[in-house]
Amino acid sequence: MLIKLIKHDIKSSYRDLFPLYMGLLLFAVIAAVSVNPEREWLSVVTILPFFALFIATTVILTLTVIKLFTNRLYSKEGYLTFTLPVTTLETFLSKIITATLWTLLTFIVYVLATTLFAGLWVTLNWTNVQYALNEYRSFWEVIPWNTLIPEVLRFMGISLPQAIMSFVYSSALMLITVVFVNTSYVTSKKLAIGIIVYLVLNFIFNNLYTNIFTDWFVYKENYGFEINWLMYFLDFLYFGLISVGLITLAVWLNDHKLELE
Amino acid sequence: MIELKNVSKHYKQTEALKNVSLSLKPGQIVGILGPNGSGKTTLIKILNGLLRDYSGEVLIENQGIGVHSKSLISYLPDQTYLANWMTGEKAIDLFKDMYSDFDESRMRDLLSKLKLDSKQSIKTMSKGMKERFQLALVMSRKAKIYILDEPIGGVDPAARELILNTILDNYATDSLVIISTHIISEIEQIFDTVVFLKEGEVVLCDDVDQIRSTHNKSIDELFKEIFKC
Repeated sequence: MLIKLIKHDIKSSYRDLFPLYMGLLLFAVIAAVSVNPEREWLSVVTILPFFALFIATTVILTLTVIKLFTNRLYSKEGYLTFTLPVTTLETFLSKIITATLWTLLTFIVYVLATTLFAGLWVTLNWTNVQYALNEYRSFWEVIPWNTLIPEVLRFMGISLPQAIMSFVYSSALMLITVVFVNTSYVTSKKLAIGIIVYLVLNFIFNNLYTNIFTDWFVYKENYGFEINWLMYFLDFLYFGLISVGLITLAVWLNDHKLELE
Repeated sequence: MIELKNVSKHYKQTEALKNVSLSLKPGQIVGILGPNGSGKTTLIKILNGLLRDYSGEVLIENQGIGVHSKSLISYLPDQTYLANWMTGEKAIDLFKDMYSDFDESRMRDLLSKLKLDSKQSIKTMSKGMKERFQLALVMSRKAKIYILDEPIGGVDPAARELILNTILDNYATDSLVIISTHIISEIEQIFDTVVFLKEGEVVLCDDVDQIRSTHNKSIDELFKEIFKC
């Protein structure tokens, strides 16, 4: 049933995001092809929408995630969502997994669009690139490319699970807030109470974190870094346990105190 | 099939349900009757698990409200729950995926009878079309319990007849049908049992024929007598 719920949650939101993904990839190509120092106006006309699409996608992604946890759960759609023959945990997990999938996919599209733009631009403007390299040779030569690129890739690989966990934690925080304001404990001023609850909980958990843990990565010279693996796992465990706790509490609150208007 | 024992529900200072006890058996059509604010929708929301903070006990097939009870109940709320992003087809897909008792061929048949197009988006449907589409979805399930909250409230007399016929033509005779309404005259002939709710309390729960012979009145007349202002 969880898979089916995720399928329908994806169906509910793909129309908002897919056109933006297509637009980003299309404008990555258009912008790269049209960048030309001799026709600056054309570069501006194509690059501006390209960057505007990045901002629009981020905004729409944020709204999509918020809608998943609000409209899809507790508005009139709640009359359908909460009468489906599935457990509350499945309903909530479906929202969290869908929101995480969209965030990951958006990140992948960002990387693809940027790579496409940069790759095409370098290929199409190789003479200009060579000129720039010659002009700023001293700058380029300072950067240890052989070290930097593998280190950046290593960092991305190591930090991906942390980024996912961080997003799951934020989703769980949003979930408990939305669930709480739709229980019999809160009968009015739901939005204001929701915002306060979210901010207070986030403040408590983040402050607790900074007081207990230290950073799990340490910068070194020449663009290198070291991982404090103990802190890395404790960080993962901390946000993982909080997320599990918040989701469990949200399920309990929903199953015992739900008051759908 | 449905057992309620001393169920009470408060909203702030208001007591929406007061010690409601009911026992509803399968194979009958039950009318939950009462004026606006008498607690009909509260009772129905409790049965569907949309209100969880109440006192007392609710059992459906000897189990509390949960996945099992939700799989048994086909519920028509008093408002549209279909989302604007959906088309009729997507709503049908959802019901097919979620309810093993959903009968797609019956749904297609009902769509043509109710003059609805499943390819149309919910956003572009009128209020009446949304209500009819939702009714078609609910009645296309071969459910053990149908709970219909104000199915004829706010619709014109011609549409009322269509809705009532849709309900009567599609429910299984061994199932339990619960219909809440405050419009009695046009619907009382279909009830086997009626429950009168007044300010959150059950003031009458009996077989319709029994009530008629005891009081020598129609249900509508008795309703007007009990609930006169």
